[in-house]
Amino acid sequence: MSILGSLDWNDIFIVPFFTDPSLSTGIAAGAGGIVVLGALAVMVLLTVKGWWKPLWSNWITTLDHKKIGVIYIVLALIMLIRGVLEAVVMRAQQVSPAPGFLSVEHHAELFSTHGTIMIFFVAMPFLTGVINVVMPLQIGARDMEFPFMNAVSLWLSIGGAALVMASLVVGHFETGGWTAYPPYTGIKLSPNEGVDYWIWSLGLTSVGSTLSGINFLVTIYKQRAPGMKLFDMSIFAWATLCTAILMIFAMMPLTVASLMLALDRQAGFHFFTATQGGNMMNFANMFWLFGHPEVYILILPAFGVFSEVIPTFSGKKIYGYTSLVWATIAIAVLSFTVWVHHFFTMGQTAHLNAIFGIATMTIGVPTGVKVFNWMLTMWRGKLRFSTAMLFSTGFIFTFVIGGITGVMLANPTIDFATHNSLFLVAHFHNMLIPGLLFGMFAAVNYWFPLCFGFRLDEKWGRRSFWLWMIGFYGAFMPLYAIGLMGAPRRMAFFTEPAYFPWLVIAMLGALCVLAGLTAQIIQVWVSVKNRESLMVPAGDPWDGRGIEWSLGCPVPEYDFSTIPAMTSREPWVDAKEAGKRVMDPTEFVDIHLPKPTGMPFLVGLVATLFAFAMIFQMWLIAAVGFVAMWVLVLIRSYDTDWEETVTAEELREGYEAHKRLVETTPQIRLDDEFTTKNRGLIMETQV
Amino acid sequence: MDYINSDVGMDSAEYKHDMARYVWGFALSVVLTLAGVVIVAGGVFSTGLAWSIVGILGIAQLVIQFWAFMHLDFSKEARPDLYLVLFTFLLIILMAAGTVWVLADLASRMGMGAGSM
Ligand code: HEM
Ligand SMILES: [Cu+2]
Repeated sequence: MSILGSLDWNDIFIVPFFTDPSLSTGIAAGAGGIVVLGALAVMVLLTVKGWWKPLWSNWITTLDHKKIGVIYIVLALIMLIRGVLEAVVMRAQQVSPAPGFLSVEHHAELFSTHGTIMIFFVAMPFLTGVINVVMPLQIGARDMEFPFMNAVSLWLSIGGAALVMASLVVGHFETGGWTAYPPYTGIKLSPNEGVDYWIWSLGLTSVGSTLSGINFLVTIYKQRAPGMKLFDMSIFAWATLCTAILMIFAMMPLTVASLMLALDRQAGFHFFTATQGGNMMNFANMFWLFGHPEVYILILPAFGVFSEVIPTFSGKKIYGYTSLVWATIAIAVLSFTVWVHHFFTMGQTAHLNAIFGIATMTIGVPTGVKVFNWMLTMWRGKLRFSTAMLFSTGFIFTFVIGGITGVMLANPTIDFATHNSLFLVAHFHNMLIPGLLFGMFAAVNYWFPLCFGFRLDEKWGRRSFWLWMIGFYGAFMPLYAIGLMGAPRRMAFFTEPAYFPWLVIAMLGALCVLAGLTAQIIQVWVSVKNRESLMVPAGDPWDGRGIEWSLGCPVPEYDFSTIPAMTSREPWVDAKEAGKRVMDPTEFVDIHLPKPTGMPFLVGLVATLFAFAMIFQMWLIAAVGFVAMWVLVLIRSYDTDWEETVTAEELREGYEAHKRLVETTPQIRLDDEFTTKNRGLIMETQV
Repeated sequence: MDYINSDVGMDSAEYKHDMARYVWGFALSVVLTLAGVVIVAGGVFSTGLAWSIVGILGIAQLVIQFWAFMHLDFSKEARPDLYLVLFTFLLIILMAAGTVWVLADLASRMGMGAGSM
């Protein structure tokens, strides 16, 4: 075999179009073309604008948790665009006259990449990014416990995403869905590199996520401001704590199962082949040992976001803090006890199914507690419907519907009828779009000023909300209906005329979602253009409650000039009620921040090279990449000169400057929150 | 440990205390491992009993190493770490026992003995 392994000309994206021209291969060539041209366009832009250097020194080499968070979120948004576009193509396919314009293979590739991308390269980086930005600021830390490892996680995730993008240009992705169950994904039935793309891109990100989980957990355990007990933390920090635990323990079964699949495929093992004593059912079992906790990894951070946004825009403190925390903990633990509900139909005894069905319904209880917490927080509050608040209330509404259909599916007898139907597809989108995306959108709208110093445009924000909300109902309510009528999931086309009207509505809904996404892109564009008038340099543009709002916007690299004194659960609210507009400083001391370094980027690069080589069986290159990765980590481990100092004097100057700014910022009322008068620090009690 | 970077030095009480723990941990680990070897090699016990004893010895060694090398005990400072370790075990048991349960249940429905799983 050559050094290039199994790679050959036919793997290059435009070749199949010339050898076998059709609309389906044309679309594939077009998608590959978009990736290539997109990459070229970005390079040209960077060169013309002279942005390579700032990109390298301000972003790629950064170890600052806020910037790392921003990069994660940008990654998630780029992948979201691809995911939504794929969804629209699938919807178009199903409304065009059977057999549609896509080959069956190509359609299968689309739902597989859509699912994989949405879960691993949209949802995960999105929530990891938001946690990175916000959590340290809420616990009074200056950085993550392991800033270098944090950057390594980031570049591993980007590497994984890059591989999925590469599958558009070189070779194919797999066709076995985001779950990639063998035996279909075994080497016999899926001989090409598709499944290996799935295995190795997930391999990179799942290692990245495990490391992120460790980082978050240790940061919360070790870096809280002095005096802050666990039960003084914000709900978002609690959500992060539970998410981190889930990340540490839940990614492992996936990594193991996918590596076992790799051994089956490439090294002649038989973990999941029926013929030689293997058992493919164990793959389903292991996959969902990961998969169910995973959905709580996706949802808990969003719950945390809503628990911050709703109190702020209701002008009230969160209702039932303690019950909310215990509900979060209960969900985290219970999430490890229900995985079998994803394969009720696999053949276990009814007895076993019944137990897991009941366990599943139990999770509805703490989740219900949370819903009441949010509603009672809003009860009799003075509600202000910012974009973030709209997404939060839209979430409560919609999520409850998804929860109800979830409890229905938890009943094994019902699940036997709805398993693998579009009813299920409707259910999990009904959980994930409000319970994940809306949460992350709310988070971006809410915390954006911390990173960039200006608010996002409210008008386009609200438009995007309504488009997403209406689009969601349009795209997924019809699927409940035809799911109950018997429509299976993952079908390239339907011949049943009764489904057709519903599929048309779903298509329109998907277009509406696409419009919502476009509105968000416009929102960012407009906000950047008008940033001068949207600046909130004094910080706290929404009369917020967490200590992150005691900082000026954008937050300086060292975050806190002095670590805040945690005199209560909400010291910033106390300070504002006492008429203060800055928190009293504690002690100014010299601090150390990690220096920027290109090493994490290089580690990610060689790790991606290794993974790519594994996909195409270029064993020599893979070995080199693997060794290089560890050599780089070793070199870094011997680097003793990795910190730089910020002196107490600089910190004091920073504090004084912020104080002067705050004192000269005119006081405005809450009613002017969304106007250009808002330069930060609006307050209810003032003039 | 703090004394590595601090000037407390190698003759502090803390150092001696930790060192004693390490030595105990090492010695007990060796003893328990050898005991396992002897039990199997000796062939006095029936297979089932030997398996169980070796299992118990293994668990004992795990506990000892947590105590000696990971500084885990019932003191107040070690409490959060203890909770995390116990929680970890809870999850591992859930996953491992759950997997065995599910696969054995499936095997029973396929008319296979538990051994052919
Ligand atoms: C934004 C609007 C979205 C639309 C219009 C959409 C549409 C679709 C469609 C048409 C399918 C294929 C259904 C079938 O099997 O026939 C699908 C599958 C899927 N979607 Fe989405 N989706 C959207 C967002 C999301 C999001 C946000 C997530 C997760 C965070 C997600 C995760 C998935 C997963 C996991 C699958 C299953 C893939 C598989 O069958 O393996 N989707 N979606
Ligand atoms: Cu589940």
